[in-house]
Amino acid sequence: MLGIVPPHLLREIVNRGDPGLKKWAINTITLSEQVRMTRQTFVDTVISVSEQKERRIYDAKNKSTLPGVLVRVEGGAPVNDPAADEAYDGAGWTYDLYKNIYGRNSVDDKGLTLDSTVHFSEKYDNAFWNGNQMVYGDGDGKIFNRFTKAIDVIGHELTHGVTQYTAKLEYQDQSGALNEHISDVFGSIVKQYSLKQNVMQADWLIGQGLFTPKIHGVALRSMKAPGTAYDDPLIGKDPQPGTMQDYNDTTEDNGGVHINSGIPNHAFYLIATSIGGYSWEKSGMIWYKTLGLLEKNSDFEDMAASTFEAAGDLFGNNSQEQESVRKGWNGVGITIKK
Amino acid sequence: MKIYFERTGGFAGIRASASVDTDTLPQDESAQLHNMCNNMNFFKMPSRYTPKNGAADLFHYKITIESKDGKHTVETTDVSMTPELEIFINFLSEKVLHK
Repeated sequence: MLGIVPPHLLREIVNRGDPGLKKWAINTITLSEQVRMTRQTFVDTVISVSEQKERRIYDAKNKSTLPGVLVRVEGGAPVNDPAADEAYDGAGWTYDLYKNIYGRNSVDDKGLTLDSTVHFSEKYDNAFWNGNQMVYGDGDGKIFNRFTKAIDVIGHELTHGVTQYTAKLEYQDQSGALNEHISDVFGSIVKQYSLKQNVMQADWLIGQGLFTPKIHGVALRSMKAPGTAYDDPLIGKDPQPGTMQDYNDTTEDNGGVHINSGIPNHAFYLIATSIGGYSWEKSGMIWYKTLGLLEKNSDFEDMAASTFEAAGDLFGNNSQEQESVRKGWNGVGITIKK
Repeated sequence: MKIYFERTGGFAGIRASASVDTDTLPQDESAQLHNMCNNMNFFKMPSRYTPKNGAADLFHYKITIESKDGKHTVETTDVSMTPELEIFINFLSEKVLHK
C-alpha cells in the first residue's frame, strides 16, 4: 500500500474517513518516503484539518512570543489553571455553537484547530485575534481581571476568525465596526447558548466580570443599552452610541470600530427580543446567513439590507421575522429601502 | 525630551494616554528612557508598523517624541512592533499608564 495511494487522497481519508481509516492514513503518510515533509509538519497539518473539535491551549508565560508552551490538547484533562481551562471550555462552546446550530466546522469551515494562548505579556489588559489564533492577557488586576473570565470574549475572538474566512470585513470605519459587531453578536450568543438562556433571560452585556470590583461598571459594552456599561473616574464613560444620531466620526481605534459597533449591536438586541426565543435560533441564523451576503467594504446600510434579505430567504418575505428586522434597524435610525 | 504616549483600540476600546517630560522624572528613569530611545534610534524608525490582515482587537500605540533632535511619531500594534519598541512600550505602560 505504501506509496501507492497519493498523498492528497490520504489527506482526504484523514479528513473524511472513520477513526480507524484515519489512523491508517496518518501512519501511511507519516511512513511514506514520497511525502516530502517532516513528521511534525505533517502531524501539524493533520491536526489543523479535522472533522471534529480540535483545541490547543498554550501558555506564553507572560512573554509576548506566540504561541508559547503547549499545555492542553483536545480531550486532555483540566490543568488547574483557570485561564487555560476557561480558554479550552470557551473555545469548545464556540465550536459547538457553530457546528451544531449553523453546521460550520470551525472558523474556516474546514476544521481548523482552535489555538489559544493565555498569560500573554505582563499585566496585559486585552484579548485579540492575530489572524491565526486567540490571545488572552491576565489583566493588570487593578482595572481588569483575566480576559478568559468572560465566555463571550472567547466567542468574540473566535468569530473574528469566522469573519476573516467569510465576509472579510475590512477593519476600518463602518465595515470595521460591523466586524466588531458580528463578534459581539456571536460572543453574546455563545454565552446565552452555554447558559441556555432565552432573549429575555440574557444580560446582553459584553465582558461582564472583566472589571475588578474597584471599577464602576458592569461590563465593557451593553447591547441592550449602549453607553451605559461603565462610568468610572479612572477609565471614563462607556462611549458607545445606540443610534445613528450619535454616530462617532473619529479616526482613533480604526475609525471607532469598538465605539460605533454599539449601533448595529443595539439593532440586533431589538430584533432578537422582538423575534423572541433563543437568540441562536432565528436571530442568530439570520446574522449567520448575512455573513455570506456582505462584502469587505459593506457599511451599516448594507448590513441592514443584507439581514432583511437573509430574513426573507429564511422565513419568507413579509414574514414576522423580516418585519422584526426592519423595525429593529429603524429603532437605531437605519431605514431599509425595500 | 517630551514623550506623548497613547494607547487606543483593544477589545475594550478604552483610550489611555499620558505625556511625560523626562526632565521632571527621577534621574534613573529619565536615563533609562533616553537610553532606550537612543538604542532603537527612535528618530530614524518607520512611522508605521502595520499588522497582517485579519487581526482584530489589537492595541494601537502611538508614541511621539520631541527633543532637540526634532519631533517624530511612531505607530504600532501588539503584533507588529520590534523587540526594542516592545520594551519601551512596556516601560511606558507601567510607568505612565498604571501610575
